[in-house]
Amino acid sequence: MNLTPLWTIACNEWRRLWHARVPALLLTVLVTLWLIAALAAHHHWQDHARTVAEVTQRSQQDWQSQPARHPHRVSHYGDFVAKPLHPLSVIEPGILDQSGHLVYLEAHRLNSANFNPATEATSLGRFPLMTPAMIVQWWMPLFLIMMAYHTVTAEKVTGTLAFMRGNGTPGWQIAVGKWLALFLPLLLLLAIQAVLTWLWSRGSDQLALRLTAMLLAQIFYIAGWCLLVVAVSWHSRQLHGALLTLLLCWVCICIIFPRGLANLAQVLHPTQPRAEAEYHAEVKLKTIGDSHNPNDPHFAAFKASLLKQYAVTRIEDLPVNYNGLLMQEGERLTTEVYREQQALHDQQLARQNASIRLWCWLTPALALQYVQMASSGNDLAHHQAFISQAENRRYQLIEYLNSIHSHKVVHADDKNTRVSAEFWQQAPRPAVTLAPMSVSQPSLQASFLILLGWLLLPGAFLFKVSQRI
Amino acid sequence: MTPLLTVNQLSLQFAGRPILNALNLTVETGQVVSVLGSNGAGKSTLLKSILGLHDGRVTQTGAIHIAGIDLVQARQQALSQLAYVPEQPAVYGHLSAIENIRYFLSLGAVSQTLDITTCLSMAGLPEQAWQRPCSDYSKGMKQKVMLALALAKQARLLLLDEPNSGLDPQATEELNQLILQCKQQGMGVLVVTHDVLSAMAFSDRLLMLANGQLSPVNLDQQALTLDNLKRLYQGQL
Amino acid sequence: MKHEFKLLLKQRSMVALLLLSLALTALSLLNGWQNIQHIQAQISHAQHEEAQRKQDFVHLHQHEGSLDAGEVGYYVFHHAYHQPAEWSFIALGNRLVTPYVQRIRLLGLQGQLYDGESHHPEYVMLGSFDYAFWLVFFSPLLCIALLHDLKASEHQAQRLLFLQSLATSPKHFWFKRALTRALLITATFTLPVLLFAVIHTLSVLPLLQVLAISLLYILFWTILCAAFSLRARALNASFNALALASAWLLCCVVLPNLAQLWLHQQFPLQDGSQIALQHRQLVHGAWDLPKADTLEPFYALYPQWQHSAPVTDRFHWKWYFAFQHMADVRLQAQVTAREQSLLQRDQATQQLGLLLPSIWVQRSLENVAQSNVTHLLAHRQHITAFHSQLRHAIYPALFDEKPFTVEAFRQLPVFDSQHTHE
Repeated sequence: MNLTPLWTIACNEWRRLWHARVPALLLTVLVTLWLIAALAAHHHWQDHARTVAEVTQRSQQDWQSQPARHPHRVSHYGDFVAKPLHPLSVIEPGILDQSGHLVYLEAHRLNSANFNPATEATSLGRFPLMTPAMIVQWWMPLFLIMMAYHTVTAEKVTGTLAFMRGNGTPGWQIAVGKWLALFLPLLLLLAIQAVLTWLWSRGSDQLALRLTAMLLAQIFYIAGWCLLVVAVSWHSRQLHGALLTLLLCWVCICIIFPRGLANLAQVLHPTQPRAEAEYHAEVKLKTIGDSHNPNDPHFAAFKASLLKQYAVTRIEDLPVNYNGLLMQEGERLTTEVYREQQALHDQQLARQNASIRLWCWLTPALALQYVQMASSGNDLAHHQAFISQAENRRYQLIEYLNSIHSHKVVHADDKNTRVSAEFWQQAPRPAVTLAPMSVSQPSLQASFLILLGWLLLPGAFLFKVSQRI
Repeated sequence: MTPLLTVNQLSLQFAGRPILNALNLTVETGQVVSVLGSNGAGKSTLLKSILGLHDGRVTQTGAIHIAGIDLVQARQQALSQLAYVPEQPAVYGHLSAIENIRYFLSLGAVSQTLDITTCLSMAGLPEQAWQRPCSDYSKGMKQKVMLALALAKQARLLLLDEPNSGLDPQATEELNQLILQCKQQGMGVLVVTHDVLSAMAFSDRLLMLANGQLSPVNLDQQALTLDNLKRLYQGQL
Repeated sequence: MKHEFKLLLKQRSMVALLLLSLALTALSLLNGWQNIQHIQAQISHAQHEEAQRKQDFVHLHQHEGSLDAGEVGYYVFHHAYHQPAEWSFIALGNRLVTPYVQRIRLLGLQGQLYDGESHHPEYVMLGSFDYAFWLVFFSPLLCIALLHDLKASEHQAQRLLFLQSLATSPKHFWFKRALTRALLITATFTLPVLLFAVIHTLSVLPLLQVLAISLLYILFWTILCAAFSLRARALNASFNALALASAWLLCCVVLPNLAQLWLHQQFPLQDGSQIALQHRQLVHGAWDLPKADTLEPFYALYPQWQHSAPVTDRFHWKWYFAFQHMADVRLQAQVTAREQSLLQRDQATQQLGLLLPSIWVQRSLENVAQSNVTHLLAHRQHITAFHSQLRHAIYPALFDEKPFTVEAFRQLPVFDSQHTHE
């Protein structure tokens, strides 16, 4: 097969675009926008990264400099962790502003990261955020449309299309040539972005995998748009008909559908308000057992089994500190309930996710966003992984403190004992790390499937339409 | 009786370049005048001047009167006396013939109008097409809509820009008949055209625009050879 | 005019576009309404529950007609409701993210104030589809679509000269053309709002404000588009569309983003969770301090209780609530500074709105809807006032060490959700 005509057509198209000046101008504007977005996102990222670093350091310092204390004091003094950030957040901050990034870890409380900076945004916060990911997701297709909506329509109007077809160039060659002409420069831009990002975030966690997934999704997405632009341009008889149709597609795919779907999911499957969830957890705890109530059946049984285990009759005779054991048992129960509550909440979110995935094929832009968020570690799955890591660390820490309480503090003098600070310094406080990308696997799978469909659908449309003159 | 169109000593420059040079032209009642000229001679510029539609890049001296009304002093009044039919008939494709005419009449301050259907039948548009959207019409049919509009607004002077381009012989013949019909009703007609043959068929006077001036052409049917035509356009005749 | 409308509305694509816009406006209103309804339902449910739960508390904890004031302070949660205003559906603003029911007890307030609502963060990030968004974002696009080729399309159809030869006055002619289009666009945005207001019998003043804002915004874009597409050499429709779309992009995305960046640079703000965190540490630190360190400054603030019996035990509720409150007091300066920065940000946004219509419209609509950050701050003030009321109602029983009667419990203030906003 002779492929040179493809290149001839593509080169011809480039010459035309270059000659028309406006496309070159638009490309410059796009790059400028990208620079602004990168600057803004970098600023944003720096803010967050600084907070995370500060918090991590302060938490470490505060913890290590604790004086000799009673273990239960320490477990309420608490520890806090900040959500680790992947450097790729510069490309896609995702839910960074919508989810908290600080968790306070203390005994019998589940403090999830829930301060949401978006609550305090001014009206400016309602405008769509400009980030490098957004540039690829929204503005690149828009500029592509503006640059190239007339690519085939103009040839139809001037009659050159009929001329080429009349001289024996098959329709598919023209279509592929045009598509190459549009796609290759954008591919170059995407590649440059990927290289710059790679240089910037060298050595970060799973970089190769994350960057590849992101780049691949972006390539699919932009390639699909190029197909759609050529196809619609071929289909239209009038220039501004092509422009309006493409703009309508853009508005629906990029703006209306994602927002509409998100709203629909929230209306159809509303999450339980935090206040309600907290109340229900409290009620549940009360029914399981109240350690302060001497007549509580659960704790009475707990006490009895303990006495039996050590073959003594009074708690004062136990070789270990009964208060510490009581704390341990209480902690076990509260943690169970809170984790159940968290699971319930996650379930509600999962239901919303499922309902949105059902309709996600309407908008490849959302699919791309899912991939970008997953790659930069700023999607729901990563957030949930962070929350559960923090919770594990909390439980481990409190268990350690409670065991010190049980074994190092004598029951008789419980209230007045202080335990050496050395114990705090040896406490297990595993570092919270960014979850591996595999936590987002379901959303990644669905998104890539949709993006593949997004290549096939306009591709088939273009193939069909390119038979016409 | 005042002539329907007098152009007196019209000189015109476009961006400093002279196009028309002290040009004179008169169209009397019941007279058909055709203007020939090679491409770029200034035929369209002349029409634009008569319509009073030049932008700031044009400097123009001289006087134009339509039915005795000065175009500069009373443009609206002067324009209401004429009807202009562009080369590409300017109908809206999504409206029918009747709707087109109704719309166009709504734009001008036309005091008295004739019944639209009468005008359409006078212009010879087949009745079954009246309610159909104009995008289906042939060019000849669209021109008939334009002429019907001229009739409806009771214009006294008709300006036709290349009316015969792109028409088949039969449509050309029908159009020529229509022009003659207008002439008989006492309208003045100014035609800008390349079609010498048709022009000779309906014109009372044939003028050639060259070097910014109009000069009469004296040709009869027998002298109409290709050689002569070439010489005519080169200004050697 | 009649003929201009007819000319426009005989085009099938035009009708389709207008109908689509009409439907989406209605959808944006419905969606906003749905969200607000959901919030209302949750609030009334919570109100019902609150009364029930308080009764249960009395039932469980009363001891011969009286309660322990300390337990009342510690165990009883009072709900603070962020009640939507009548017109909140027009611009959801931060209402979607701020908790509409907050549980407040007598402990330090700053530790309780900053919990967010537990929404799906991804969907919150995608943004809401409300009228404000639709208007700010799409009315310009519609204006561009309908007005960018006023002159160019006639030129392309070689009709320009002919029309100008027919029209009485070109100015008047183009004015009518632009006006018909602007009126149709306005209708697609305002008619659904009007209808909605009539169906739900909403109050008139906000309606007029919303209509006026929409009208002015569409007028601005109409004038911009018309001026651009009617200039002397505006004969290239594509160029017009591109230039106007760029203006739209600048107005609705780039400039607001840059403004936001500038705002954050100019008025830096401490993360709200940091306040909560500091509060938590102050409170927990207080356990290890000598009791006098807490009580002396507290009695300086509340001299009326300074003769309260000294705390000698390891624990006493009044000491506990005193250090809870002192943590609030210690953070007061930071909290005020934070509020100040937020207000400054909002002020700056307002001033930017005078320069950029898109920001002006968004902020004005949020004002009508009472869903701006200023309303959030007012709501927090309201909660603070309510919290003080509660404290003042319980302190006598606590510091005089009198029993807290069930009667007094029933007299405790309830959060007045109807007058959240002035």
